[in-house]
Amino acid sequence: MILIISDEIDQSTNDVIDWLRFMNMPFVRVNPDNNVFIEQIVISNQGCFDFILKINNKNINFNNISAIWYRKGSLSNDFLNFFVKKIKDKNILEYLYYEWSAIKNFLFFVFEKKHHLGNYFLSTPNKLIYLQKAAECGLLIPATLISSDKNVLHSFKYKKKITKSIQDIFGAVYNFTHYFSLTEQADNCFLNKQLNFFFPSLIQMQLNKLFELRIFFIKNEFYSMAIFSQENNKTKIDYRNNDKRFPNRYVPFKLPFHIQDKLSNLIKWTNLNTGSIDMVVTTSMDYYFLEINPCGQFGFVSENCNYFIDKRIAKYLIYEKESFE
Amino acid sequence: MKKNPLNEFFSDSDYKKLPLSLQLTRSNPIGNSCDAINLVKVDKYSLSLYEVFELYKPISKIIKYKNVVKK
Repeated sequence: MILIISDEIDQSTNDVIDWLRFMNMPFVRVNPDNNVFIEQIVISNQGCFDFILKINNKNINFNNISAIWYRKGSLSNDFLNFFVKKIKDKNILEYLYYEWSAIKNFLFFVFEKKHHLGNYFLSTPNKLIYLQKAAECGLLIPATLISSDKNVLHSFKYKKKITKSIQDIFGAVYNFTHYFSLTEQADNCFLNKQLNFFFPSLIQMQLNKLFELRIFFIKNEFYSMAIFSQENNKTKIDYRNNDKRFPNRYVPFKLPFHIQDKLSNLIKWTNLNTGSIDMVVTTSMDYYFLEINPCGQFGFVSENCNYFIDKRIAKYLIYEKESFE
Repeated sequence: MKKNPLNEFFSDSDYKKLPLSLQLTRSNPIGNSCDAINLVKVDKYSLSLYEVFELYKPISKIIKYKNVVKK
């Protein structure tokens, strides 16, 4: 049985499950709103442990799990949720959070003893560290500056600048309106209108894009897609600002070996066994690394390039028995 | 500069202290039929929403129930 930890709106999880069903492989999917009931966790001598969890009234025994796919999300507990609604005292709530976190982290720790894809503990890496490490691995990165001081940002020598979230994009829904942040141009006119001091913000040199790359990787296999987003005013700064009337071209792309080597070194350092990498190829044919998303979307890479990544993941989980026991 | 959709949550002076990326937040109304179809489609294996899907409640209710959109 394959255990999948995901969230309820992840289409890529559905696509992999389609293949698991086709291959007659039983699975259990856990979303954040499926509370995990701890039937028992046993830790004994000689490093032995076992657990029985109950999710949606279905028992999940550690020994019956053949592989685990950590796609995204976390594990939640109905008792914790109960007390979050009941208790106002911060100290007690904090205590309960820590207690549940200890259990949850232990479960994610033992999940790694099975054949697995994805890693909960590496799911939200510090993107600044990754950026710095990418440069150490020999990859080009865009010149980057973080400051709370308008004058310092003004002194950044590049005329064309962009700003984006330091870690993850902002996203929220209020009153049926979706609010979200993308990569945006931060020209001097925009900076001039700012206060002298504000929350630390990141700016980068704006690259002269020839095209963008979205690269999904599983182990050392790269599935790359070129995105021709630079000709469209809506998408030239950020391809995620999709133009439904004039969609970007997405085509399969073969990475040069020297870039593959550098990415492999970076991936080895991160300990990730899957994820998605964003890069930009400039008009001077330089390859710039932007970031790695361990839980990034890969469905559009798979569909547009006929990579069948969902099938590849299903086969990895079923057939590639890399034992950690 | 265009009006920022997050303006309503902050006074002008506080708003200007936000990170630059957040000051440039965009917004889109959700609830059109396209979003609804996507939500129904992506929810098909979701254990907790399975019943909702099976009952085939009106699409608007599913959106209300989730109150999220695909990122």
